[in-house]
Amino acid sequence: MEEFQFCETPKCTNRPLTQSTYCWLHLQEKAAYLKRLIDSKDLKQAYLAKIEIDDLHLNRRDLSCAILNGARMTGAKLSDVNFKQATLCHVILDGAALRHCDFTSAIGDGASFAAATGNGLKLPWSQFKYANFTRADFVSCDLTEAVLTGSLLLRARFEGAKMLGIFLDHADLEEADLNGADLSYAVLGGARLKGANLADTQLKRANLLGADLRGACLLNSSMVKALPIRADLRGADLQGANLQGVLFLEADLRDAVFDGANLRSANFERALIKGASFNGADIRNTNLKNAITD
Amino acid sequence: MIFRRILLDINDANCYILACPRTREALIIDPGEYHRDITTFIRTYQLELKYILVTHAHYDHASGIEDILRAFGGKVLVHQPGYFSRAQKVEEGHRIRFGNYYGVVLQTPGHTADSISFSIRDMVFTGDALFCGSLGSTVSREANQELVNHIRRVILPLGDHTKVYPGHGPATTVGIERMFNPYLLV
Repeated sequence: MEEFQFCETPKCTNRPLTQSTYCWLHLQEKAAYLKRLIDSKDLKQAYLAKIEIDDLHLNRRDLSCAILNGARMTGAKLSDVNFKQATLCHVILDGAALRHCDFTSAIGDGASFAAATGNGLKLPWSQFKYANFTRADFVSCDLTEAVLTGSLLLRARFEGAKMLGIFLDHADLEEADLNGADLSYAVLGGARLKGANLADTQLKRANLLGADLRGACLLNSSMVKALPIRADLRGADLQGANLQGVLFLEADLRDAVFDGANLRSANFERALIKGASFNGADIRNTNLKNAITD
Repeated sequence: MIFRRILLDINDANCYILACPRTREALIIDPGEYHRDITTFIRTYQLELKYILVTHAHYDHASGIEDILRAFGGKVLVHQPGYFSRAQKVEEGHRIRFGNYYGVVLQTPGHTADSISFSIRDMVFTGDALFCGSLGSTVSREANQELVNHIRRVILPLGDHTKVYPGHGPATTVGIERMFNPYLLV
């Protein structure tokens, strides 16, 4: 049985930090502690909850299985840092530059990555529920099967990202740039994608139930067998998209543009299609029965 | 928990592997075929296969069982065990433990009489009972009503945040289905 220790300050029930007998709140020589910490090679399983280091520079460190809940690392520059299976709930990494960092299977509910940049980031099977990725620039990152339920990705840039099976249900992706991303099997039910750039994305069998895609750009996207049931696609641009077998059941498609799209075997049962444009679309075996045109 | 979804070639079915990272004991759900991704995953993570759970005895959910039993051992858990070797019958409320985790069997008949779901932590595996935006096919109106009743009685009460992993197609959540699945709307 692991012995649980407390901070040495009388009546304090916080756990002490790694390489200290005090919690962050009661630690005296904070600057000296941080210097020692940064120089430390082995930070695996380190307990660093609520530490505050702005403009931290860290290169090639192993922080796997570490606990950093509530830590503030605004503007940090992290390169090749291993956060595999780390716990990062409510961590603040706003404006951070994250290069080749690995967050595989990390848990970071409520974390903030606002305006952070990331190159070659790995986040597969991670969980960042209700996290803030507003204006984050994580081009080509790997978010396979990650859980970002309810997160904010406003104007975020995830161009070319691997997002197969990702949970983005009830997330806010207004004006996000997901150009060329792989969102096959993604869970986008109830997500807000108003004005998002989804051009050239893979949305094969994506869960788009009740998603808000008003004015979204889905130009040349591949949505084979996707499920935008009861979704709002008013004014969306689906020109040249592959929409084979897509179920638009009860979707709002008013003023949407389907010009040149492949709509074979798509189903528009009880969908609102007033003002929608279908010039040059392939509508072989398309079910437009019971679509509502007025 | 170690968790992977494997997309099978057979009918685009989903197979799932769950395992305890401490003991390496694992449970596999609906191996519709002996897929290389299944064997690679079990070997890479050095898992000890304890159970093979079958949500219902259709070929696209069960055809890989015999090969997996031969390669990795384990015991088959199914509601109607007649079709399989090394099989054990499971019913509503049956607890399945692997390592430090355990889940509960829920009976969700309608698509077939032997259909079961499996609930563990914030996840439920529904086989062909509940899909994203749809329900499993049924042979009669009565069977459809039975399915709807079971989904309402045992799946929806799991809570809106529960992730739903069906036998085919994308995952979803109880909340999304409760709000938007046209077959569950009154």
